Amino acid sequence: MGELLADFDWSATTLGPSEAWSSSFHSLVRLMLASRFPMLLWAGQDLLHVYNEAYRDLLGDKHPGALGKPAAEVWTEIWDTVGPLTASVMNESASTFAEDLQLIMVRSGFEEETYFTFSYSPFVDGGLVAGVFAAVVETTDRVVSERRHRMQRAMGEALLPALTVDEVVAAAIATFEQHAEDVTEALIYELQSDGAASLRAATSNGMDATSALSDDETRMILGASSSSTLLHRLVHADRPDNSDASALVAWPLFHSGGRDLFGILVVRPSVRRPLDDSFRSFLEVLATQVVSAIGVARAYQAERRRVDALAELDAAKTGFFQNVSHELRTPLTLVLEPIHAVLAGVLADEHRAQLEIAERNGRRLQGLVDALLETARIESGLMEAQFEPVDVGALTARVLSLFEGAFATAGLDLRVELDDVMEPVWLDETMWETIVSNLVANALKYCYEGSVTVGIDRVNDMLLLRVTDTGIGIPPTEVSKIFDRFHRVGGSGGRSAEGTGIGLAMVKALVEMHSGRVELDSELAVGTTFRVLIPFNGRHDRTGTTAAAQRSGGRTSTLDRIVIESLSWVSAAEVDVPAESDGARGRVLVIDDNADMRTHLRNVLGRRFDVAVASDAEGALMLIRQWQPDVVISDVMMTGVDGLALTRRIRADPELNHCELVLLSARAGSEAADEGLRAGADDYLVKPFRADDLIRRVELRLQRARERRDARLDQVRRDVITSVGACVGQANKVDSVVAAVVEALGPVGVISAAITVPDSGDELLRMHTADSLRGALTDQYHLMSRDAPVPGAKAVGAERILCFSDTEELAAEGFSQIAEDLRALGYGATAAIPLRDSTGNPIGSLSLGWPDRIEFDEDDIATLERVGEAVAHALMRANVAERERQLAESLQRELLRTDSRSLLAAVAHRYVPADHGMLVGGDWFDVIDLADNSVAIAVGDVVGSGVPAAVAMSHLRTALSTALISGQTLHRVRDTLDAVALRSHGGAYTTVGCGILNGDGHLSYFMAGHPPPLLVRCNGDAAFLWGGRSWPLAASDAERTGGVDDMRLDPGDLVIFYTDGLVERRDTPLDDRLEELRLIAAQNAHLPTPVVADRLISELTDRGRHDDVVVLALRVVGTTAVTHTDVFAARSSRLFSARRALKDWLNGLAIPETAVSDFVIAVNEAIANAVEHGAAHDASCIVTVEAARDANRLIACVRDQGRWNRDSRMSASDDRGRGIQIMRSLCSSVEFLRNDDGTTVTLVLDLPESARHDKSASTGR
Amino acid sequence: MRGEPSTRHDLNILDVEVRDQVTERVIVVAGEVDAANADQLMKAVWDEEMVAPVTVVDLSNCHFMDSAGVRALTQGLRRSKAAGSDVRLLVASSGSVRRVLELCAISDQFPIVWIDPP
Repeated sequence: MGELLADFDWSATTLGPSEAWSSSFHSLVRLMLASRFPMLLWAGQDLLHVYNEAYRDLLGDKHPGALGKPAAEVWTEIWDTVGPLTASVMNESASTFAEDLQLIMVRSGFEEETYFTFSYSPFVDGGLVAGVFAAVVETTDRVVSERRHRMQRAMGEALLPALTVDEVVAAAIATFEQHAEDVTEALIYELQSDGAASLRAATSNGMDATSALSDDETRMILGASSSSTLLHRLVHADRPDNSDASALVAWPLFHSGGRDLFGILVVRPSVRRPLDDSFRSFLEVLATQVVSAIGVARAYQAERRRVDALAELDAAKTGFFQNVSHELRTPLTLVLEPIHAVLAGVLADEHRAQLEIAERNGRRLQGLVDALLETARIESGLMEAQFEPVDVGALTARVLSLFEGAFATAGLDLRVELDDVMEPVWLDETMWETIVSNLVANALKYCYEGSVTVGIDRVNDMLLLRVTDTGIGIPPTEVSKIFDRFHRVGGSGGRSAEGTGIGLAMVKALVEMHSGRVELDSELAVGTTFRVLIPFNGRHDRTGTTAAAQRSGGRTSTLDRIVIESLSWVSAAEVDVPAESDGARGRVLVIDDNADMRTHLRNVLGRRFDVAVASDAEGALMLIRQWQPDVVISDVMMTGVDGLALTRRIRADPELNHCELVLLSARAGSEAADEGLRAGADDYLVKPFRADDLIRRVELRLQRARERRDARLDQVRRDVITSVGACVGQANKVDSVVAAVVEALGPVGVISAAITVPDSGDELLRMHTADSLRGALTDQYHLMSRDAPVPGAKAVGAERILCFSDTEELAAEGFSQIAEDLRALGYGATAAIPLRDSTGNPIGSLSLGWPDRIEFDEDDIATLERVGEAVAHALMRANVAERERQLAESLQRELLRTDSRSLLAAVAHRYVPADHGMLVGGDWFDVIDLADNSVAIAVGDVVGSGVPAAVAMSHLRTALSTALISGQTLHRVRDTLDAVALRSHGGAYTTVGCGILNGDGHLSYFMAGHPPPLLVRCNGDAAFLWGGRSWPLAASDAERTGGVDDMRLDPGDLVIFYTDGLVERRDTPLDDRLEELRLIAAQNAHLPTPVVADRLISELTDRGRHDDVVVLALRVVGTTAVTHTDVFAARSSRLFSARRALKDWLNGLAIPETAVSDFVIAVNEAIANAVEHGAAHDASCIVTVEAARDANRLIACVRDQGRWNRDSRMSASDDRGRGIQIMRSLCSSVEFLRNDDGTTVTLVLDLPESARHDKSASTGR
Repeated sequence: MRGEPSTRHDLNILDVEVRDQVTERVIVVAGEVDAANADQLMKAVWDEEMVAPVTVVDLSNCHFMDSAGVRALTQGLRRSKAAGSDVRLLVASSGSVRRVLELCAISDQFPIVWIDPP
C-alpha cells in the first residue's frame, strides 16, 4: 500500500506532489500505513482518499480506483448519510462517532447491507482543518449474526407453545414477518394427496402469493431430499417473474424421522447479504425448527386421538364383564377338563410345563370363584355343616404337612405343637381344613422371618387352635375389621397383593358354625396370634348324617388352592435377563409378582422379542437402568411398589424415562385406564388378554420406542449444536470460546476442549485450552510447529474430522507421544475438527476429549461437523473482536514498550484498558535505563482518547525518554515536557509523574498534576509521597519553581506509581479512595511486585473500569525480614549466587530445613528455565526473582524477558519438562503467565503447621 | 548486593575427581551441580576411553543438583551402562540431592547407596 501511495501521481490532484506535503501530513500518513487497523484520511477540501492496507479490504472492488479520488465520487451510494458527517468535521472541526451504522453500499457488485463503527476527526495542519481522519471497523458480521441469533431464538419461543399444525404454521409465518431482515418472504406449502403442493400460509409480502408451486418445482424439491436424513440439501429455483431476486431456498418438511412428508418451506433470503455458508446454516436451523415443531404437534394430536379411542374400548369392556362374571364357573370348567385330560396323556416336556401353568391357574381361579360363592352361601345360610367325630391332631398335622414346601422355600420354621392324646372332636372335617389352612396361609403371607407356630390344646371344655407368627403385625386400627369380608389391610406389605380378602371372613363364619369364636393378639413388627376356640361338646347340630355323600371335590380344592397360592407368594424375587440380546429383536421387560404370569408372558412374547422378567419394582428399576428395555410391561396390582407408582417413578427419572410402558391390570374400566395413562403409561391392557393382541400392541410400542429413541438422539444432537451456538455466541475471545465449548458440551460428556490457531505469522500453532486442561498439557503443547504430531495441529487445514475411539487408536495413528500424555490424564476418545472461515480457508482446529472410549458413527461425525461450524463462526467473530482489541492493545503496547534491564529494582507494570470499547486510552508509562546505571520510571495521562491522544502520548513519551537519556535534570526534563505538550495537539493538561532511582537508593521525583505515588516500607508502613507537586503540563504560563523532591529508599522498599483510573470513582471522594489504595498496598506490602499490581487492580476496580488503569510497582533489590528481591543477568553462571542469596534469606526465617531446601530447588528450576529458555542465553536480558514470606507460605515470582516463540513441545521434552515436574512436585501451586514482556512463574509453597506464625508479627504491624 | 554485576562472584566451583582403577572408576563430586556446570559432570562420568567394569559416582559430598544435573548424570550413567559397566551411585541419605533424585525416580534406573553423613 505504501508503494501504491508513493507511486500515485499526487501532483495531478489538489493535494499537489507528495514532496510538498507538510511534515505533519507525512507523519500521519506514516502512522496510518504502519497500523494494522483500518484507517482512512480524506485529505484536502475535496476529501481525497488516502488509506492503509487494512482499510483496503473494506473497499472491495472500489480499490484501487478510490485512491486519490474525492470521497463523494467513491461513495456516491452512501454519501447522503456520510457526507453531512464529514461536513461537520470540516466546518466545525468537531469529531463524530458512529456505532454499527447501517450503510447500503455497492462494493462486490450488489447492493450490500453493511455495518460500520467509525470515528471521524479533523486532521489539523498548520492550524487549519486539512482533512478528515477516519478510523473504521466493519461490524457487519457481528451485527448480522446477532440479529440472526435473535430470530432463531424468537422462532424457538414462538413455536414452543404450538400444539397443532395450524398453530405451528401460524407461529412460524408470524415470526418470519416480524424478523424480515434476513428472510424477506416465507411460504409454507402443504402436500396434497394427489402430490400437488398447495399454499398453506405465507408472509404478507409472499411472492404475489399465486398459490401452488409448479409440479416440476415440487418434484425437484422432493427429489432432492429422497434420503431419510433431515433437510441437508438446498434447492435454488430461479423465478423468471422475479428476475431481480437471486434465489429461493426450499426444503421438504418431513417429520417422524423422515418417513412422513408434510409439505414444503420456501423462503427468499435477503438479496443484500451474500448467500454464504453462515446464511445457509442459519436458514437451515429455521427450517429444522419448523419441521420439528410440526412433528411434535402431529405426535401430540395422534396421542390425543389414541387416548380417546382407548377410553371408549374400556367402557365397552366393563359392560361385557358385568354380564359374564356370574357365568365364570361353567366356562372355567370347560377349559380345565380338557387340559386335565391332555395332561393325563403323553406330552412333550415344554407343552406339559405350559399346560401345567394353565391348569394350576385355572384351578386357582376356580378356587377363588368357589370361595366367593361359598362365602356367599355361608352368609346366606345355605351351607350346612357335616359333623362327625374327628381326630383333630391327625387332621391338623395332615393339613400342615401340605405347607412344608412353602415354609421351606420361604426360609421360615413351621412349628407344630399338637396334643396327640386328645379324644375325637365333633367337627366338619373340610371346614376344619379350611380354617387351619387359611390361618396358616395368612401367617405365612405376613411373616418374613422367624417362625409360625401351630398348636392344639385343650382349655377347659374348649378346643384351642393357636397360630402364632413372628410377622409384621396388624395395626390396632385394623384389628376390628380384619374379619370383615373383602377387607384387606391397606398398604399391608404382605408377600402378595393377590387374594380376595375373604380368607379370614370365611374362618370366622366357619368357626361360628361350630359355635366357637376367633380371637387375635397382634403387635406391630412383633407378630400376631390367632386363637380359635370350639367347645368339645358344643351344641352344634349333629343331625347331618349324610356327610360322606355331601362331600364334593370342590371343597378339597379349596385346600389345594390355598396351599398353591401360598407357594406362589414365597417364590423368591426373580430378575432374569436373556443370555443374548443385541437389541435387534426389541427388548421387552415383564414385571409381575405372579411367577406363572411371568412365565406365561415370557413364553408368549419370547417368540418375537428378547424378554427379561422381574418379580418386583426394585428388580425392574435395576433392569431398566442396566438392560435398557424398549418396552416395559408391568402388572398394576403388585405388593410393595405397585405398577402405577412404578410408572410414575420411571417417568420422573430422566435416566429411566426412555422406554414405552404398558400396564396390565385385572381392573377394567375407563377410570382405571385413565389413572394408568395419567401416571404416564403408554398403553393399558386389561386381563385376560389374547396373546396375539398383546404381541401386536407390544410391536406398536416397540416401533414407537425406536422412533422416540431416534428422535431423542436427533434432539440431543440438535440440542448440542444449539447450545454450542448459544454459548459460543457470547464469546468474544478465543479463550472464552473454548470455555463456552466446554460448558456447552459438558452435559454430553466432553471433559476438555482446545482450539488451535495459527500464531507468530502463521508459522506456528498456538493451542488455547479451557481450565480443565491447563497444567501439564498446556505447558507442553501451547505452542507447536505446524507439523507437530498432535491431532489438533494435524486437523488445521485437514479435509475431514480426525476421530480416535481411544488413546490406543491415537497412538496407532502416529500420535504416540500425546496419546501417552492423554492416557496418563485419563482420557479415552478424542476428536480434532478442522475449522474453516466462510470462504473455506482453514482458521484452526477444535480438539475435544472424552473420558471414555467412543465408537464414532456417521451421525456423531455429522454432529461434530456442525459443532465445528458453530465454533468456526464464533472464532471468526472472536478474531474480529480480538483484532479490534489487539489494535488498541498493540498500539498501546507499541507506545508503552519498555525494555529496562536495570539491576536496581524489580519493576512490574500493568496496563488495563477500560472495560468498554477498543479506543486507545491516554494512559502511558515508561521505564528507562540511564547512563549512570540509575533507572527512571514515569507514568502519564493524556487528556482524551483515540488516535489524537495516542499521537500526543507518543510525542511526550519520546520527549521524556530522550530528555532523560541525554542526562537532563528532572527540572529540565519537566520544562522539556511543557514545551512539547504546548506544541503537540492534545498535549496540554497531560499529567506526568516521573522518578529516578540511583544506585545509592536515592529517589528524586516530580508530579506534574499527577496523583501522588505511594511508598510502602517492608514493615507495612505505607504513605503517599506528597512532594514534587506542581500543575499539569502546559497548563499555566507561570514559571515552575521547585517541585522536584528527593528521598532515600531502603532495600525492599516498594514504590507504586499509577494513573487516576485506579482511584477515581464517581460516587466516592478521592481521599477515601486513596486511603483504600494505601490500606490494600500495606496489606500486600511484602508480596512480589506483579502480585501487588494485580491485587491493587482487582480490588480497587472490582466494580468495573471506566477508565484505563496503569500501575507501576518498583521494589528496590535486597533482602528484608519478609522479602527477598534479586535481579541479575540471564546467565547460568548466576544460578549459584542467586541460589545462595535465596538460601541465606530463607535460613533467617526460622522455617524447617526441608522447606528451605525444597523452595531453593523449585526456585532454582524456575531461574534455570528463565535463563535458558526465556532469555535464550541473551545475557543482556535480566531475570527478576522476588520471594516473600507470607503468613503460612512462601511465594516467589521468577520473571524473564523472553517471548515463547518456539515449539514448546520440543523444549518440554527433556529438561524443562523435568524442571516443571520438580516444581510441581515440591510446590502447592505453580503458575505460568506468558505475554509479550516475558514469562512469569509464580511458585507457592505451603509451610507445615508448626512453622506458621501470625502474619502481622512478621510484617511488624 | 545492590546493583553492580561485577560485585557478584561465581563461586560455584564443582570439584570432580576421577579415580581410575583397574576394576573401578570412581567419580567423586563435591559442590553444587546446576545448568552452569552439568556438562562437566557428564564428561567426568562418561569417558569412552576409560570404561571400567564398575562405575561409581560418589555424590555424598554434592550438596545440590538441579534437573540439568540429573540429566547429565543419567546420560553419563546410561552410556556407561550400555558400554557394559556396572554403575552405582553414592548419595547422602538426607538433603536436597536425595530429594531431587527421588523426585526424578532415578533409583528406578540406577542402584543408589544412601550414605549417612559423617
